[in-house]
Amino acid sequence: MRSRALLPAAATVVVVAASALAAARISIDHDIAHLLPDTDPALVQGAKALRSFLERTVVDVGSEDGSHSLELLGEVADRFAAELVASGTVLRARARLGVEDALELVDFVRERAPLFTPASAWPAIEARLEHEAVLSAVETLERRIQEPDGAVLARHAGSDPLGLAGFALAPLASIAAGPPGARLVDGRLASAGEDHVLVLVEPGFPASDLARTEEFLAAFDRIAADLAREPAYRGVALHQVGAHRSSKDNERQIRRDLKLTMSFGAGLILAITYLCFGRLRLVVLAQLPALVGGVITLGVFSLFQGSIAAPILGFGTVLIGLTIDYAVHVLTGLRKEHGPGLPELAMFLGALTTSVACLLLRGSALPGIREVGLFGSIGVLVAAAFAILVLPSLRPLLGQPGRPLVDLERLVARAPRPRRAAWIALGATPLLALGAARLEFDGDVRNLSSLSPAAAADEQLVRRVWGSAEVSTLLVEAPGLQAALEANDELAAWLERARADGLVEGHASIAGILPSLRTQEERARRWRAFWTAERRQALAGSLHDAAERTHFRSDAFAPFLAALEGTPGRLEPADVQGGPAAALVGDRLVQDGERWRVLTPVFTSGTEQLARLGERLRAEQPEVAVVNKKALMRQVAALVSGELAGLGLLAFAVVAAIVFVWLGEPLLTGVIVLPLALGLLWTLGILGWAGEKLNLVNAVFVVFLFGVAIDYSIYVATGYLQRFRTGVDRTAEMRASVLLCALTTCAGFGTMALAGHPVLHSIGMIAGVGIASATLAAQVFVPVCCQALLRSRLPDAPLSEEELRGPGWHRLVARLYRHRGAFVQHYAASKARRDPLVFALPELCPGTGRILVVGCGYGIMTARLAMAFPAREIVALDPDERKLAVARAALDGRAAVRFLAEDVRAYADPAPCEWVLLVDVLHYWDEAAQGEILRSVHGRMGPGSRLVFRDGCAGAGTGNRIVHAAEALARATGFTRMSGRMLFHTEDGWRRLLSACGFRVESSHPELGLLSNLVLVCSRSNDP
Amino acid sequence: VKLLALLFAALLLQEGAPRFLEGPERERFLDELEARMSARKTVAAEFEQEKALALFEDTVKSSGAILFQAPDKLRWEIRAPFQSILVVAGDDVSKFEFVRGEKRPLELGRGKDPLHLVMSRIRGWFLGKFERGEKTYRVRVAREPVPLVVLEPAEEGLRKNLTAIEVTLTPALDAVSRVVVRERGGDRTTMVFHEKRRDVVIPAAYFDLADPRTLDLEALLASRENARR
Repeated sequence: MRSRALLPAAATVVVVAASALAAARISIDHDIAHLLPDTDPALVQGAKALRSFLERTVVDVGSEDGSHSLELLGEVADRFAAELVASGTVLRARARLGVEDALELVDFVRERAPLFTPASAWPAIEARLEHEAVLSAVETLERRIQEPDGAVLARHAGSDPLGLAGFALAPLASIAAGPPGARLVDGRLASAGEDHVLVLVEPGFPASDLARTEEFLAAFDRIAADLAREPAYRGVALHQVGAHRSSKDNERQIRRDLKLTMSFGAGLILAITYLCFGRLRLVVLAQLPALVGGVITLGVFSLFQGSIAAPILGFGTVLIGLTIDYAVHVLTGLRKEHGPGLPELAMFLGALTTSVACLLLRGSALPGIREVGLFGSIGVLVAAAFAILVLPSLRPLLGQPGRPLVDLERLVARAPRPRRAAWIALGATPLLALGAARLEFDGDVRNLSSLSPAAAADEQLVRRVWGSAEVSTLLVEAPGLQAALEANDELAAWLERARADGLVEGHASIAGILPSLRTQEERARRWRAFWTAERRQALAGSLHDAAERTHFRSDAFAPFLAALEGTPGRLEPADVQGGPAAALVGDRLVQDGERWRVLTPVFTSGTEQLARLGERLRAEQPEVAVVNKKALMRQVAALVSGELAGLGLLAFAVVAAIVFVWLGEPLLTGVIVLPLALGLLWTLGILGWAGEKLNLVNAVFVVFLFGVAIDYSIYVATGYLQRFRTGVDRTAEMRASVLLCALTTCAGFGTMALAGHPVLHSIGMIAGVGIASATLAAQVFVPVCCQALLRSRLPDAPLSEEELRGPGWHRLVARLYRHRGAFVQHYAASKARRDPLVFALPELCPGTGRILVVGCGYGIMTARLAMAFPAREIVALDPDERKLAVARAALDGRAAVRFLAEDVRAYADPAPCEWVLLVDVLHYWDEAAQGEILRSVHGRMGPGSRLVFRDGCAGAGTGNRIVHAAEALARATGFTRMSGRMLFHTEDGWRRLLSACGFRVESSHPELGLLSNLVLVCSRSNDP
Repeated sequence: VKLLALLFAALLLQEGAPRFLEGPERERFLDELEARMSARKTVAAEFEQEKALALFEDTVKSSGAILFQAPDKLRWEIRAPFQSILVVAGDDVSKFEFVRGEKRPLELGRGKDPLHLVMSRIRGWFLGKFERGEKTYRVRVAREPVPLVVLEPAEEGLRKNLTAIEVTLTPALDAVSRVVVRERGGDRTTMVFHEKRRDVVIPAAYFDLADPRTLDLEALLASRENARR
């Protein structure tokens, strides 16, 4: 027997072990992109572009006292970059665009001028070919060559005396653009004061790869320390800013925080549960549902995906962690040795509502939130199922229940009546609503980051030195490289017009160095068409004249004239990516599967100009996405806050609907849902007044609050309902259980408010405040509302004639059954209104003598009789104790009415009854039993006694079939707990049976029988 | 006799060739040079420039004046055969040309950074600061027969066009006397500086990036502030 009881536990062990094995294969993904939306294409593109920026690291090499030369700083930067690359921990580190690179780049473009000369340049080129203009240009060239920077001009004077390559080279200036305010000095990005230079580091792996990040940061620290030790570099400091450092800082902070909060929280939970349970075993068992839920859910996830995002795992675990509540409820019940009943139903309902609320998160635009929803939904249901179905089977492991050191139940029972507290809380609600209106949503993911003081100082320094200008990125995407480059060419041309119109301050399009093949071919065609033989001949003449007027040799410009005759071969992307412009193009051209993205940084003077740019782009270049980190974060914030508000309302509606289906009436639903709304409002209000903000992470916790608050409400309300419906008072126990749950949850999550990490702190705050609010609402409002609603509706005074027989008589009967269960109250209301026999009973059973109701069920007819004859003795029998409990509660223990769980055949009271009701009973029995019952009834009747008999008739009529079907349904649904075959007789058959059992039919009342029911009033046949 | 004559000539050449310093001697020379040059607050000099380029039929000559004020102001003015002014102050640079005697600023555009780079290099010569890291140039120094700093391009791209920059200094290591820029293909630019007076007072107006004051070197030197010196 004991081994059978442990069977569910053994099965769970097997499932958990299998899930653990499967879950071991799942890897943890630290990618923050899970927190960014994936449903809006523009935001998806933005997020992708943002990620490429987020993965860069910038190293500032600066003079601490401004005394170091730019040359020395450059030397440090070069050494640092070289040693960092040599360490093998990063892909690339660039301290400068060397002179070599710059010259090569210029030569690269010069040699291919026909491919880079834009169409817009030709009118200007034509103007330069005028004879006088050529003479002037050559004279100027001669002068310029003599100036200090003339060497470069001299180098190209022979091949380009008129500076025509300038049109091709023009876009190059913007490609190498760095932060505004920085300047390119000797190939380096130097600060305005020339006391800082930048090194750009591309680690080549995501910041979420913590192992490699650690190696990179260790190499950075080691190299920086080595450099600092060199006397020549004393006073030169290296400051780094980037996602990798931030990622590592966050990991360290979270580790520290978790150590603190988990040890503190776990200690508190253990202490609280031990104090309240008094046994360590119970404390351990209380953790099992969450553990089982987590492992099985991970196992399920592993069947469909190979990895799970760290934030999802974290949130999901927190969600499942809430299921410790179910264990607390079950263990509290087990300690009290209660059998199964309403609390289990309440737990199931609580788990269902929490699970559905989680499932609604699947509607989120953020993949992370969607997965949290699924993870939580599965986990909560599994944990609740374990708590309800398996945990009780572990009862043998509990041993003797311990004596609690703190008796919460007694504490709750002695608490003052909550009515005053409810009024105070209601009074404070408008004030808290004002606080909720003040609550802001902060969508900036940067504020979710916890930087070490050193990193924060470095970030401030970099921002101070290099400015924080508004840099945005325009993004074109297309299937195939050439299609993307063509779109980028169009965008670059558009940007030039936008710059002329004052929409942008500048841009760094790679179109100038990597035009599409189509653009190249167009340019080459135009070049060939322009440089006709006549035009070249005329130019040669002008140049000859110019040379004669200056010191130039007569054949000095021959290379230039020769170059005009042809065009170079087309430029392939590989030529650029492998050439001197590789570093410039590299991170602005991104391949993503079959698609290619081209990124163009644009500089604007502020948000207003950016807004105008975005507006114009949407109108004229709708396929181009504008990515601005701040704007993107604002968009994400707006999307998430709107979405959470929508999902919150939906969750509220769905939860209310589930509760309504359970309770079957709006008032009680309101009693349970109202604290949920109030608790949420108070939470948001307190957070608003405390200056806290909702963010992408803690906003999800609002859903957790839904789950917690509704569970608390349901559980407390269930206690009151149970007392109202069955008379068993476990309200104090259930409120104590809820209080214990709240204390453990607060201990578990509220302690996170002590954390230094903003995310953990914000979760701790919202959890602490939210759970306290939900508990207060559940402990104050639910009892007050329940006490107001759940009271006896039995009239104290005898009913008037109007009340007894007037049009509203059935409502008086139905009222007795209000709040006694969704089915019962509707059944009772329907029965009273539709069953003509119920109405007729007072007239049918006149007198003052005892009435015996055989098979009274929920006692609806008994109630009608009791209301009609308050002083008359009524004995109601039914074998179904469940129904009797409802009937007793409905009649509120009226002294004249006794409900007995007895079979009439065994009913021993010999006192005769004036009236016996045998309504819709006999067909559940076989013929022999029907005879026995009738004879027993006969034995309870004295002279003048009457039997009201009703039952369905056998036959082929529609009415018969409906009666049979209804009875079959009642048995199938458990409404009627009778087994065996039903036996209906024909009207003659019933009459024969009654006659055989000593009854004489006095009258027949077909108007009181529904469908095929036969209603007969009988007397004893041996009566005179 | 011919052999002896050749040997003699070789000895003479050997005697005139610079003896480049290595290791600590080189560092000491550079330290001393930087210290002495840095002691100078200003420089006011005239210069003559000769450009012997393959592009030109003959050597093209020009002349002008320079003003330098430590640490970051430099004015380079060509007076003949045409007139132009280049001014660099701090991070900025401006350029003016004269059309029919009238000074006009030039829009430098993307040419600003390269110009600033060149002027910063020249500024560095007058401060006695030469790159020791050998990233861009390999710096060779000689004390005899005349103090000399030779900058040989270290970067491949620079080497394609430039052979060397030779900066000849005064024996006291306190002024630049001549600079020769040698380019591939035999092109050569020679600048000879004639310092007029040391540590003259130069009003800021001469380095005004927007409108530099017209320079009359004689008048500047004869000005009241400088006459007192």
